[in-house]
Amino acid sequence: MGSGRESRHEPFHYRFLGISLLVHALPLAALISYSVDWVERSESIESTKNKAAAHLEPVAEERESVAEQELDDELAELTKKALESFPRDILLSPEVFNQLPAVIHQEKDGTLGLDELFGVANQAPVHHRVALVEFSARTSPAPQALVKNNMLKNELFHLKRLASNLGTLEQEFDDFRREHSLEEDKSPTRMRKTVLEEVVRYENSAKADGSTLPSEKEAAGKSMNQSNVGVEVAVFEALVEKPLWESEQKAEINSPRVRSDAPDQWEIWIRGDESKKGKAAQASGVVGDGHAQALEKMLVTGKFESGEGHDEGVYSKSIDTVQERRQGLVVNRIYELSKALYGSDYSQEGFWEQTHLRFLLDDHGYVERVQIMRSSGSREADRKAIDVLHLAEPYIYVDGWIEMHLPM
Amino acid sequence: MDVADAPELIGRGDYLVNHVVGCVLCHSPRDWTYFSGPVKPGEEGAGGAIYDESNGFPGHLRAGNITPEALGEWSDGEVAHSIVAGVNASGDSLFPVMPYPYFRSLCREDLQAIVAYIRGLSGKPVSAHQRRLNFPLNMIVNFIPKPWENPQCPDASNELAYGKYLVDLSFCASCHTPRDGGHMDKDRLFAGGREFSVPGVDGVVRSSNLTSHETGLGAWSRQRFVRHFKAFDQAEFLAKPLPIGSFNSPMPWHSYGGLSEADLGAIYAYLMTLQPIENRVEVWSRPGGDVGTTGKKP
Repeated sequence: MGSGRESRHEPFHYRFLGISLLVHALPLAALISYSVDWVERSESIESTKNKAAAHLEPVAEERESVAEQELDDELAELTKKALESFPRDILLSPEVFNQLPAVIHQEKDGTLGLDELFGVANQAPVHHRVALVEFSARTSPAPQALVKNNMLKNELFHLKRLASNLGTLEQEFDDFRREHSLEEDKSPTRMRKTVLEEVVRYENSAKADGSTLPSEKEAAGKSMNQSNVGVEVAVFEALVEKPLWESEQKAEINSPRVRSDAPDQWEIWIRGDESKKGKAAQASGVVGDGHAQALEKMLVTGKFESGEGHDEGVYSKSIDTVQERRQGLVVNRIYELSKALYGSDYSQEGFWEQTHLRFLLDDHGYVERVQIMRSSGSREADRKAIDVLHLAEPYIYVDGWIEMHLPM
Repeated sequence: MDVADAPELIGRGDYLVNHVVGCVLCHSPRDWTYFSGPVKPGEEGAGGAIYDESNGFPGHLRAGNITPEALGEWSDGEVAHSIVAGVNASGDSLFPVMPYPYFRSLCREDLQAIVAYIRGLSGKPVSAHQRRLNFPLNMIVNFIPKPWENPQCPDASNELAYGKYLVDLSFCASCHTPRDGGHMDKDRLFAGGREFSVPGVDGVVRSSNLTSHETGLGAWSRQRFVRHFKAFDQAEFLAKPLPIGSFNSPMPWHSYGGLSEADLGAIYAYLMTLQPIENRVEVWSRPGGDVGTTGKKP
């Protein structure tokens, strides 16, 4: 009987052991596994962060650089005000002016024109728009009269950058010129040479002692008209994405029904000479009377208020170059980091899978809110894109949404 | 369905909820002293529009609170089911003023994103509210919901398909189709002319013709269409309240202004494929037959 009792109890005992194992040992094992995983992930995040830090400039340096740029803007604004009292003329040939789609034209002052140019260039991710630049530099009888030494250096820096940019845009301009049968002498190649000559001249001036530069007193006595560097900049921007441009957009050009963003129908953005540009806007035939009037008004107010927009009461767009430049810095920072961490590159041929997102920053330059406007199609890639935004923190503060495409 | 608390889902949901599907537009109080009635700050999802006999509705209902305070007990699947199938957690059929028939085209990833975002709204107190539908609507409403068919997300590189997807999710047809005895005139889809009474505006406001006819979008270039929307994505747009007696629009421009240029372009591309229907709409008719200045454009 006794042995019988034992034999009845044994299975129960093993069952108890089994349940006990299930209740205690398995969760313990899961906890250990989770902890190990957590430690590994933490280490991985830490290592990614360290990797990120190695690739990024300290934000303080960027802030300093922005402060310098804001100073430039202030100087540009002063120059602009001074220039407003002088007559302006247009150096663009009628062929260029009438046929090209979008023009942001600035007065013939180097600082102002170049600042505006880079403001526009920073407005959006580079791959997202085609910018054609034409540049002409007239040799002045004397170095710019009102500039101080530091402004001269700044000018030189900008000129060098412009010369470099002109080189990269050369092919696009040539294609455009062929398509529109533009004069050959408007090729940036020639313009780049002119710019480079100007750079050399500036460098020689800067190397010489201060006596080659006019004193502030002398400068103040000279006419702005005579002292201008003579820079003229026209930026032609296409608000189209390249993938669309290649296929659908071209199809639209051939469609009689659909009005499109084809080159000959781009909207014209103008600042500068009122009478000539207003007429050109109307002559292009792509804008209605309301639009033409709005363009005329924009020349005076600096704001674009479309006649059509009166439907809903509000329709305006102002150009804020400081804001755009700040956005450019933020976007570049993210892009550089993304490239360093994941090898993602905008310039990669046929790269389609991108996360299109926009985000807001808080006062301290940290990402406050992110919206994914179009998913890359992969949740993992979308997650990486958001991770990069956080890894590149903090940023310089930018008000409003910053939009970008981020390949992963 | 169980929706993970994933940043990429919340980011996508933020965009869809605030700029495409517009959940918070109906489910929050709007401030009509500003142009296009933006949502009152801090009240997102707290419950909004009331539909009753005063605006011609056969019964009484309110776009309810969708914050976790109200939906906390619902599972993710129940929230998702109410959005795409029109049946709430209690098994009651929703009245299609909640545009769930349009939301049936939501693909799984986007539906998950919307639920993830709604889950993250900050809680707001739930006000007591009793839905009442007049006979026979209280019976008919039970036959409207249909199962969600779990469609594939459209290929973003197919502009027309993506544009259609966005137009469906934004239920453009609902406002931009004329009504015939309270029912949509399905022969004149997107032809505009539906009448609205907007708080603070004297007279009648009508929706625009979105078809490709020259009295509608046919007169608009793609760029003009995109730029028109993007003009409302600027902070200064909401800076000043409207002067008393001025025109206001029920169209939530402040919300749709946040759509990306690519998405707006896709919407335009799709709308331009619609059958052209001639319908020159007077957008605003003031009392006494005086046509407002906004009446000349689509």
